[in-house]
Order: sequence, then C-alpha cells, then structure tokens
Amino acid sequence: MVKARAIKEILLLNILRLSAIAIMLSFFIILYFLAVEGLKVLSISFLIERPRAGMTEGGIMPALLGTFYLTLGAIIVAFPLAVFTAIYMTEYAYTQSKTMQAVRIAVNTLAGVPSVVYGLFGFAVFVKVFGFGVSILAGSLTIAILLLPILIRATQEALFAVPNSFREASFAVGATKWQTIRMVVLPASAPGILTGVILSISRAAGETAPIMFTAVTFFTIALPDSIFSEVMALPYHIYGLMTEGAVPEKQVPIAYGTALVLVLLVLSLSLTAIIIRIRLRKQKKW
Amino acid sequence: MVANSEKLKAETKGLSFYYGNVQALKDIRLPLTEKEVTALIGPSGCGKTTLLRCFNRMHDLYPHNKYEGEITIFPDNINIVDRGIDPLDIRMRIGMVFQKPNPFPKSIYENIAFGLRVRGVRKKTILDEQIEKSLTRAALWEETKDRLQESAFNLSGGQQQRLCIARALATGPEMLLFDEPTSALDPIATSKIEDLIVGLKEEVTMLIVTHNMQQAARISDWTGFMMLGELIEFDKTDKIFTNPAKKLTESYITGRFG
Amino acid sequence: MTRATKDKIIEWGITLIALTSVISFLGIAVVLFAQGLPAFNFVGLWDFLTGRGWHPTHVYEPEFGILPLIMGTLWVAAGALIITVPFGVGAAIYISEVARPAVKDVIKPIIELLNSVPSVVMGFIGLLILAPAVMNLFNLPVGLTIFTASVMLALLYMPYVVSIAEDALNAIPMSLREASYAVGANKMETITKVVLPAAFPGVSTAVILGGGQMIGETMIVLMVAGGAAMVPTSFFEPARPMTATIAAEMGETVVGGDHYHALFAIGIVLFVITLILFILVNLIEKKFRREKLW
Repeated sequence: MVKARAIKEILLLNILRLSAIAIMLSFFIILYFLAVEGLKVLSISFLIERPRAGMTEGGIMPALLGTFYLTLGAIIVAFPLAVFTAIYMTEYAYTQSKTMQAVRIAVNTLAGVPSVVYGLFGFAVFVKVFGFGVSILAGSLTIAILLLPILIRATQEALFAVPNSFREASFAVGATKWQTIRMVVLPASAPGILTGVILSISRAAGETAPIMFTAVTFFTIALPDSIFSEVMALPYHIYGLMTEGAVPEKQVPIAYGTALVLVLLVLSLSLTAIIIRIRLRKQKKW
Repeated sequence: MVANSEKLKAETKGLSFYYGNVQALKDIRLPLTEKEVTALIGPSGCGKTTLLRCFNRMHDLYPHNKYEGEITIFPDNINIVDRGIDPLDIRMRIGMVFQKPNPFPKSIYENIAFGLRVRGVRKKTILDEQIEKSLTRAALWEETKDRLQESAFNLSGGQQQRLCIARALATGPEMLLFDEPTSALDPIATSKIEDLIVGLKEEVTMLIVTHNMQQAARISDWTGFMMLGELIEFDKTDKIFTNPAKKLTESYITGRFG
Repeated sequence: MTRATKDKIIEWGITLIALTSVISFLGIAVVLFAQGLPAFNFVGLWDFLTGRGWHPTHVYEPEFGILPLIMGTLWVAAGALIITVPFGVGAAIYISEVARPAVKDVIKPIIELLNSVPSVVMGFIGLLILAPAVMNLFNLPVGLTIFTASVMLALLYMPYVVSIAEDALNAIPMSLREASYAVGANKMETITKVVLPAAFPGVSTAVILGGGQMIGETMIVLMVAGGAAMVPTSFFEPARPMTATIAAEMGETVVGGDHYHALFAIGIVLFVITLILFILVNLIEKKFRREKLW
C-alpha cells in the first residue's frame, strides 16, 4: 500500500519531468536542423549580396534590409503609443472609469486578434484608403498595431513593479503626477520597458501574415528608396522560396539559410531581453 | 486641554475621513503646537496613520476617499482638506517621512535634490548648498559627504531613513509628518532618529505616529491616544503617561490590550 | 501656467493617446464589417457558414461556403490542443511544483526562447522535416495533413500555454500545499488533489487562450495543412483553415470583388471567435475571483 503510493508518485513526477524535457528537446531538434542545413549556405556574401538568377542564387541582403526597415518603423510608431497607454492605465486611470474599461477591453481583445486579420485591416486601410500602396509605411503601421497590446502589457508590468512607496515619497515632497512619472517611475522601470521593447522587436521581425498584403514582395530588383517602396522581408522570403519559383532544389538551401539567419536574429534579441531581466531581478533592492 | 498661551501651528476640527463608505476617522479635534512634537498612539487600525496622511492630502492619490471637517494651518488660517486647495501646495509646505525608508533608486545627491528640482531649482550652487545643509541637519553629512554620487541603496537602513528625513527637510517644510519612522530599524538606528527628531524641534512642527509607547514618551511634548477612528484623549505627554483621564487610555498604556 | 494646470494638460494628452488602442480596435471591427458584409449580398449568412463548397473563383458558379474552412480550423486547433494540454500543463507543473530552483532557471529561459521562433520557421520545418516523416510513418500519399499542422502549432504555442499555466499554479498560496503535506499527503497527491483543482480556472484560461492563438495562427496552417477545402473526417487528411484561406487568396483577388468581400467575411468570423473567447475567459476569471477565498 505504502509502496504502491511511492511508486505512483515517482511515476507521476517522471512523467512531468519528461514533458518538460520533450518540449526542450523539440526546440533543440528544430535548431539542429536549421543549423546543419543553414550553415551550408551561410556566409558573409550570403548576407550582403542580392539574389541572382531568379532567386536561385546569391544572398538575402534586400530581405534583411526590408525586415530592418519594417521592424524599425513599427517600433517607432508603437513604442510611444504603448508607453503612454500603459502610463495611462497604471498611473492615471481609476479602475472603474469608463475610459479605462474601454482601453482595457480594447487592449485585451487586440491581443487575441489573429495576425492575418491585422493584415486585412492594414490592406484595406493603409494600402487602399490611405493610398500608401504596398509599402514599408503600410507594413510598419500594420505591425505597429499588432505590437501595441504586447508592448502595452510589457510596459504595464514594468510600471507595476515600481513600488508605490517611490510614488508616495515623490508626491510627499510636492512633485506633480507627471514629475513623479518622469523623474521617478519611468527611470525605475526603464530596464523592464527595455526588455519589453526588445521582445517586441523580435516578434515584429518574425511576423509574416500582417505584411503579406501590406508591404512585401517576393522579389524586387530595386532596394527601397522611400517609405513608400515595397520591400523584401526575411520571413516572407522563406515562404516565397518554398511556394514560388521553379527550381526547388536550388531554393530550399537558400530558404534554410534565410530561416537560420532569421532565427539567430530573433533568438539573440530574446536572449538579450531574458538576460537583462535576470540581471534586473538580481540587482533589485526594493 | 491646551493652554491658550501655546502657539498653534495647525488644528483639526470635526475632521472625519472615509475610505469609500467606510468611516475611518470620526470627528477628530487635534491641535498641533508650533515647534513641538505631537505623537499619535493607539492599537493597529485605530486610524492614526490615516489621520497623519490627511495632513499632506496623501489620500488624494487614491480614488473614493473623502474628507469632512477642517484641518486649519496657521498663520494663514486655511483649511488644507478643502477641495479647492491644491494638494500640491500643501505638500510643498508639509513634508513626510514614511514607515519604511523609501529612498529613490538614485544617488544620495539626487534623492535630496529631488524636492528642489520639482520646484524648478536648477542652479548647481543652490542645490549643493541645500544638500549639504539638509544632510547636516539630518546628521548624515559626515557619513556621506564623500559618496554623494553613490546609490542611496548602498546606505544602511538607519542611514536611508535619515536620508529620507534630509530629503523632506531640503525643501524647508513648516511641518513634518512621521509615519512610524523607526518601525523597520534596529535600536541604535532608532535612537539616532529619535535624537534627530528632538533636535529638529527648534525649526519645525512635527506630528509622529508610533507603535512604540516608550518612543512617544521619550520624544513628544503632546500625545493623542486613538481608538477605532476616534481621538480618545489628548494631552501633555507626561500627563497621558502618568495620569490619563480616561480608563481606556490607561488600559492601553499599561499594556492591557493593543 | 501653474504646475497644476500643466499637469492637467499632460493628463489629457496621455488619456488621448491611450484611446489609440480603442480606435484601433473599433477601426478593425468597422473595416472588417464594411468590407465583409457586402458578401452577404450574394451569399446568405447561413449558406456562407454551412455551405460545403468553397470555390470562390469558379467562373460560372462560384461557391462561398466556408464550412470546410471552419472545420479545418477547428480540427487543426483541436489536434494541437490535444498535444499541448498534457505536455504544456505537465511541464508547467514540473516547473512550478517539482523542479529545483537551479533546474527551473535553465528550463524557463529555454522554453521562453522557443516562444520567439517565428511561425513561418515552424511552418518551414513542418514542411521539410515533419511532413515527409509523417508521410512515411503513416503511409500516406502526402505528408501535409491536419496532424502535421497540429504538431507544429502545438510546438509553437507550447511556451505560451506553459507560462500562463505556470502563473496560475504560482498563484496558489503555499499554505494550501502545506496543509496537504501536513495531513500526510505526498507530492503527487498534493499536486493532483490540491494544487491542480485549485488552479483549474487559471489553467483552463491558459488552454482557452492557447486555443484562441491556434485558431488565429496563419503561416503554419498555410504551409503544412495541405490546403484542401473539404470538411475533414480524420487527422490524416489535408485541410484549409480560415486563416490559410485568407493568406493564400488575398493576393490574387480583385479588390472590391465578391471573392474579396468573402475573404473579409471570413475575417469577421475570426474576429467574432476572438471576441467570444475573450468573453469566455473574462467569465471564468470573474467566477473565479468571486469564489476565491484566499
């Protein structure tokens, strides 16, 4: 009886351990395949050359550049909006107020809207109604809206982590609300907000569905020369190489290389964010 | 109760306070004598901290709080809990020291400069001068003059609390509020803070909430005993501790409850 | 201008900025409905939702029935959940209840890193690695099936489910566990009889939110689900989920045409599903909060 209980327990604990191990293992398997196949084509010239011979040779420089522009544009738009919205939600609004309720519902629902629906919205509004065409601008704005809820939540978390005693101390010496936010709350939460921004960049760089009809093209000879240019982008390049073109045996290796570059980019960003956060927890004295 | 010859710095009249629908203070009448220390004692939850935080309108930071009645400050004779009075103006004149030391995550220098900066002081010479002066008054200058740019978190708990006092002093307040300022400190640090408070009597009027009756007896001139949101008894400190008028006060200070 | 007035003006400004999210949310709803509702001029709502034929580009007799697409979405998401729930919740329990802190410090960041792998890369791996394996293993004509998509989706959203479930477990107060140990329960009994039941609302929220994300995922289903617009009857058939349909067809459709409006109407369906799940999660949280005794 007692023994059966003990055996059952060991069994269960090992099943739990195995599920955690299985998840990590699958992650390493993915990385392994990407690394083995991707490293065959990865080189400096792969990164700095343009594609040649109808996407069957050459490098991925235009796609790297396009992803950089799209991500940069999205962050520039989303960052201020998200930070101020989070400030509103944590520092100003009373939970019961109508505006606060509306903002909270909007943010929470936006977080669940499928990315392809953002793409539809971006196409109808930015590409068509605003007339930006398929362009960096339209794509960046679309990704920016997708990033809003993610960045708002991350910023809110960072603001919540600032102890109330700091705010009270600031008010007690006669600071206004904005002075308190600007001089005490934001500096204290800056590393946390930074973590959120880095994670959003990594998210933005990997998104495909929202830019499919708003910003990207599978192939363009010209490099972008304005925010109204259409661009190539890493995630769409992978998709395009697998679904378009006529020479799959030449395209698949390039796709592996592109996927490896994208994953390395995104993982190193996330890793940076995680390291900042771990450091932060260790240092924190309040 | 209060001799007429004493000069008042502030006085509450018929002060009630509500957290939403819950009445936390009932009809408080409390006079504060200028440049003396008034202590508030009483069991946990009696409303002493709530009363203290009325004096710099700290309750305004949270929704659904309501004041009734008056806190008049002298000599200008204004009611500071009046809705028309900007809490900012009040906090410019009445400083506060909190239960746990709460320095900002900034340098020692910036912690004290903070109050001056929010008042628009930019000139380094003025800042330097005020910082030295405040740290000296808070008996912290000798320990910190060579490390002003270090993080305030590098200081010990007692030093941090003195830093918070210096921060409150830097803006030249007329009154200082202390919310159990030594409850998180060891006995040595506590006695330093107590000495400091006694020394500050020359300059400011002080109201202190304390859990520690000996502390009230040691440093205050006046003591108010509170229970369940009411001010049960208020008198000269030695009177309260030797010959209280109310039975309830006596039971409390002799340790029968609380 | 006094400091107080300046402060008020800043507050208004910030409130105004906060409304961007509300405007975006309403904007998405308005655009979807404005572009999607015209579809119901040429196909009835009921026929749209229950029609079994999706041939939007047929020259003579186009058909706009999205039942195969809805069912495709549901099959893929259900398959993914069947994989994610035991592994994800199991891993969450392991991290929160069993693992030593040092082990935890290694596992958590790794699972979080998995979360940042882009979906298009998951689709790519599914296409090149998993699909051939599935084809050989189950002796199928093609490896692009619901099962293949479900596995890749499960992997993509595993970290998401793990982290929300772990939060739910961490929210259970230590005293509850101590009470269980104090009456002689072992770790297994504490987990299965005390911790899990107490964390049930939080864990089910994690599952619902994960399911919602899976329904909305695009790239994986676009690349590995096979793309056949038929109502599936098993996990080893191809399917064409709603998101994949939009992504695949949007680029080739005439703006303002029937097909275009029909694709936006699919967007409405996805949006409404998002709303329903949001309300569901809120109801669970509300009920939970009312019952919560600690």
